[in-house]
Amino acid sequence: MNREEYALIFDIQRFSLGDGPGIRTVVFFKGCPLHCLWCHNPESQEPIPELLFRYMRCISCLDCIPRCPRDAITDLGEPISIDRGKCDLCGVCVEICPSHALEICGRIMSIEDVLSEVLRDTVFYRYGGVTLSGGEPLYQPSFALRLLKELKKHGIHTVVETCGHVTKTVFEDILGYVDLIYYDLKALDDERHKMFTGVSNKLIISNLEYLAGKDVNLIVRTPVVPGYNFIDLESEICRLIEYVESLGINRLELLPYHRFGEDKYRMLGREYTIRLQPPSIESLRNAIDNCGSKEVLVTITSPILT
Amino acid sequence: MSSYRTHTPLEEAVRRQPRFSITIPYYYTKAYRENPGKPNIIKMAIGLRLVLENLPIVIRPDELIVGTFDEDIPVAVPRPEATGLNIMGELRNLNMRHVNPIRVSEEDIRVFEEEIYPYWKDINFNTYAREVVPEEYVDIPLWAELYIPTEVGGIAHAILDYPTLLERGLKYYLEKAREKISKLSREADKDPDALRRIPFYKAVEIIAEALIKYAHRYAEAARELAMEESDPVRKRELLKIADVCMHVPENPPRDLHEAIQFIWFLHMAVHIENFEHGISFGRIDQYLYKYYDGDREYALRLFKNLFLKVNEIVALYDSLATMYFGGMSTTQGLNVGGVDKAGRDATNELSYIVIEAIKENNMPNPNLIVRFSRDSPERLYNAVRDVLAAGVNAVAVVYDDIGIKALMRDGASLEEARDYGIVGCVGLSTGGVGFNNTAAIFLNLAKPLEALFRDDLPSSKYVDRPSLSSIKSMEEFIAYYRESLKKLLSIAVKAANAYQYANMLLKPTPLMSICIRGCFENGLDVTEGGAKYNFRGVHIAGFADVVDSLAAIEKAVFIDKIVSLEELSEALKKDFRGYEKLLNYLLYKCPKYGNDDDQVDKYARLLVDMLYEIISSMRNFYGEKYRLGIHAMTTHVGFGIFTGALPSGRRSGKPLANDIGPRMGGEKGVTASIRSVTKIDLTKVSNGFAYTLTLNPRVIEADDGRIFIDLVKGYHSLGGFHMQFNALSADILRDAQKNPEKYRDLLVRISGYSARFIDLPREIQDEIICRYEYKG
Repeated sequence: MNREEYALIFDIQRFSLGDGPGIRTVVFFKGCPLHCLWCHNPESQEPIPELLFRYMRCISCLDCIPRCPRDAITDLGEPISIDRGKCDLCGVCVEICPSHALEICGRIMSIEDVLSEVLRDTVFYRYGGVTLSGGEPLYQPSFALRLLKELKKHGIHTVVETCGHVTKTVFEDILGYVDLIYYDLKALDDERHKMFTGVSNKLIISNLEYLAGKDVNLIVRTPVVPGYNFIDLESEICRLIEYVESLGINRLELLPYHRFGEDKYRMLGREYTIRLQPPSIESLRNAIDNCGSKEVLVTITSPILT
Repeated sequence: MSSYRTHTPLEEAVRRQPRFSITIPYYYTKAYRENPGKPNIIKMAIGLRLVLENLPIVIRPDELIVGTFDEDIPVAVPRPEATGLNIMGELRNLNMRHVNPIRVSEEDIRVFEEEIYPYWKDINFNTYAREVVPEEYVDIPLWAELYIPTEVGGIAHAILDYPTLLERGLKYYLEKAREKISKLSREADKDPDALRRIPFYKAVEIIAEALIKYAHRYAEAARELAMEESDPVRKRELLKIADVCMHVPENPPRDLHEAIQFIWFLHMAVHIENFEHGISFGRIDQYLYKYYDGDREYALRLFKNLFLKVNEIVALYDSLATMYFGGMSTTQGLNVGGVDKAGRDATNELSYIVIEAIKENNMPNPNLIVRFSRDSPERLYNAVRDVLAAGVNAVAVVYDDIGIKALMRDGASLEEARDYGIVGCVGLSTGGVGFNNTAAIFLNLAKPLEALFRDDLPSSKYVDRPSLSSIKSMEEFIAYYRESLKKLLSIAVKAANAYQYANMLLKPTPLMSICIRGCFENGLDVTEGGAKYNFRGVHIAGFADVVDSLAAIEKAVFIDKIVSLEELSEALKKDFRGYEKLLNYLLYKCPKYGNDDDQVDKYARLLVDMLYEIISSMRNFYGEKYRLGIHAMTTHVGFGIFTGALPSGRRSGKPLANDIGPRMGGEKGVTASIRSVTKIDLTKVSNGFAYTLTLNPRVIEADDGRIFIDLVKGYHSLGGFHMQFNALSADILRDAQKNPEKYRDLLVRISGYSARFIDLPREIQDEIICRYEYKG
């Protein structure tokens, strides 16, 4: 597969808000070097297609069981159970499922496929544009770069949402074609970073420091998952703000933990290990106010219904 | 609204529960009963005079604009010559009914039962209509499921020609009418039309005199009150009111106060004479601008006063009609913004003052429609955004390019088209030039489809029902649908034409006639076709249901072949009981309108082309065109009750789509929905349409309002016309929990994540609703 021409994409969402300015279309790349325990897009992690079972839509007709060529589906679950070791993603069950409860997540798309989809909303991009997200869009760097260049040819505002865990040269390559980077910093403490995301934060921090010295709009984003990446909320949020300030970056977004992703683990046949109530917005607001940074604008992101 | 304040007397009065009021029909009945030898047009003029002479004179302490339907408002008025008789059996329950309760007194019931009802029970629109069309065309079984010819309630639903009236003053009509009468009398031995026109001018003479006299009574009352008034500020106001009422509506106004008072006297009187259904103001910021002297605060107060007073009357419907026309709304349309006759954007300071007045009042009426042109100032977008962000829903936007093209397609000149306005909710019309009842017929578009699958409906016998097994292709199926639609629509048109005829014979409307350009010059009542244009409109309910159904039939029957038309027919009859798999297939595996998917959007385009061709080939009582509109008001609820399951996967009895937008699609968000809608040639929907977006007020405010403005501008640049907004509410979210199939478009978004609301587990949905109620 020509990695410049094709990529594994799991969703393209139009009229997205909160992923950059204005009205945007977000391209979700599948595959991520990090595996954060709290990830709200678990289907974005594996760099291969996966079978999603939207169990709430299942009407228990059980038609999929006899039709599966690999006998991967049985009636031992609620109401079915999928043996993902046996499943080869042939798609027969997806085809016959009358209620769209089975779905293959992740498809190979060409640069033209993606462009023709995102250009559909060009008339709405007066302040908005296209955001590359994931997974990790820079995990498929040649395609991401190519897409950014094409978008720039069309005069479209571009945003990249990244976890930062990629070789520095990837950032060097894209810098001329990206208007804004949302840069995720999951934890300042490397031990916790390793424990909850699966990788060290050293590369991430060095890339962030590199980007901070460049002429690019940068917003640092950090999920707040109390008891995991934050233990002492007040002091650690303050430390984070001070760190961001020390790099000369003036925007930080905190993403309070939420449970909207929990269900997707079940749809993937995976276990969700986090047991947590979302932190209150006030506790975050207090921590930010008590820190009193004048240089960094800290915002708290919350879900919006559209 | 966070700040709580006490309403002032007028504000309080218009917010009370409406009251059943028989004053108006009582005096019209008296006029008809006591003048059996006079032409009906004279009886109508006498009726109006009697009402005006007998209405109490009330000046509320917070009023600058005076004239009221009663001391105790809002009034709900039965129209016994029309549908008002149907309320007869329900009078004693009016105050107890669940939907739209109305206060009612024993004395009013007695008068209605003993003095009003007996006169009209054998002389009404229905008795006249039955003379000229088959009885079943004008009866409940067919109506309930297929169409409503609204002129059974009377003619109305037009933009009044206030610019001309203001220019002339009623004295002009009075003097001209007298001249005409003497001239026509002289020519009665030569001109065969002369005698025929005399009653029209006599009627105009009576109503012009009556209105002037009514105003003078107010002048006198205001002067008296001023003498007793101790507060010097209010005293000055009362003296001003006295001065104003001595001058208008007899003479052309000299300032904004007089102009607005002039309009209210006329507007109120037109509501006395006519069915309170979409009697509209047109471009008020344009024709009043020359009276504006720059005193913004005073102007705002005058407009707020006027816009409260338009809520003094509500529409009265019996319980059956309430299923089709809920909310008692009189939908008085009002426009600001847009281009002038030369094509230049003409937004002015009054445009903003009007918007602000409506925002501050936050009442159901008037129905504000803001016209946007290519050159509309950014401030106008911001003003509309601010109204919506305040949670006031009574505002819509329309786009000049498409509106003007649509009207010119129907023969209006460029100048007339540029001066267009919106009648009622969404009706597109040349200002006061024509009497274009854009809501003459509401039609259930799903019924001609259902009638192909079922032979047991009241509509079935009018349709050549094919043998389903003989239909071998989608093209053939569509050809049958087309024939079915044509047959059923022609019945609706015949019924509507019969009511136009009945209106002309029984209830000429001389006051309405001087408010529509051309009638006075021609000496012809509007009910006789006195206006330059006499279009009628057919508004469609169930548009998206039919679009989705056609796409589902194509996919399930002719492409995937998972079901035959006969099996589908069985499933529909059983409302999918025992057919769950099929139902799910239709719902989830067949493409849905609103996702920017050509597989289904092609049917939206095809349907509009088909409807346009069929509807514009039909003629009304005046020999003029019917025009295609897509807006159900609330008839989609009533029609829905009498419509069985549909191939789209919609279950029996559920409401149908009420506008041009998607119904169960829209999973891809608002922009995809807009792209689907704008694939239609919207200039063919020349009677107007509604496109409603349900938006979270937070989205409207997001990004300094840019999201909202970009949506509107994007829609316009794609060739859109009308758009209105419905604020997302916790109630809508709860309904989504109960009826998930209707809300597949509701998305929860947070950076880098989104999910359909309906796909979330119940407890997370509850959490979102909680948050939503807390923050909005």
